[in-house]
Amino acid sequence: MDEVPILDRARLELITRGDAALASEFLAALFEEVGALLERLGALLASDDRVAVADVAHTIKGNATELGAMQLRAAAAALETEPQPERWPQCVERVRTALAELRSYV
Amino acid sequence: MNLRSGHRRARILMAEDSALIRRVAQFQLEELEYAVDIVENGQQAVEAVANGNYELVLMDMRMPETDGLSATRAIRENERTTGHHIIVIALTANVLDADREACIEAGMDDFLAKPLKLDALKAALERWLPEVS
Repeated sequence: MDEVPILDRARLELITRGDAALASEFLAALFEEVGALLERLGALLASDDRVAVADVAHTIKGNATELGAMQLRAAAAALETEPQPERWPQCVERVRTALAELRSYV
Repeated sequence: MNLRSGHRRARILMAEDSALIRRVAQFQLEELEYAVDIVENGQQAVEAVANGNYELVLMDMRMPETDGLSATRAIRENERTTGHHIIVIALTANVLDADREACIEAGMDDFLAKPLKLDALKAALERWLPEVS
């Protein structure tokens, strides 16, 4: 697990063409969108709506993949494929932690 | 980057539910000097295609409510009366054969893997959009 980097800088530099201001803008968009999705996940935890949880996790994974946020991607992927509702809270916590680590890293 | 100016006139519609991915794609399409309008779901895409003069749609497969497959089926259904065929390219993280088959059955013309790479996007747009001299 530790080998997964927090951020694949090569990916971010590729899509921003090395523009640091643009990278900051894209990362800010990720923090805003994933933050809102985490709130939605919080509400969904009380349900057993696997499709809804997987959909939100999938969107987080897409955001993370887009910018090379590899640990966040891995955490979201684990939630997306977790069938057991009782394990969702720990998966969501892992997503929350990965997002916080990305935020302090950049 | 060498750009052929003819492509710049092409009007592209993109349907994508993620704000971040919309923003990145907008940047990529601007880099390639294409004009793009962006909608957030499949239903909006169907309406935009019916009302706008687009030449190509970049359609996310997985969107809430009307997904990319349903939207493409609706676009193709509407085209039965117009005889027009707009190019629809699926944007998908799943590049399995079964997903490709579903894209083709829904009436999509091509697919691009997410996350979008600039060179792959450029190649697909140049392949599908006719030259305007």
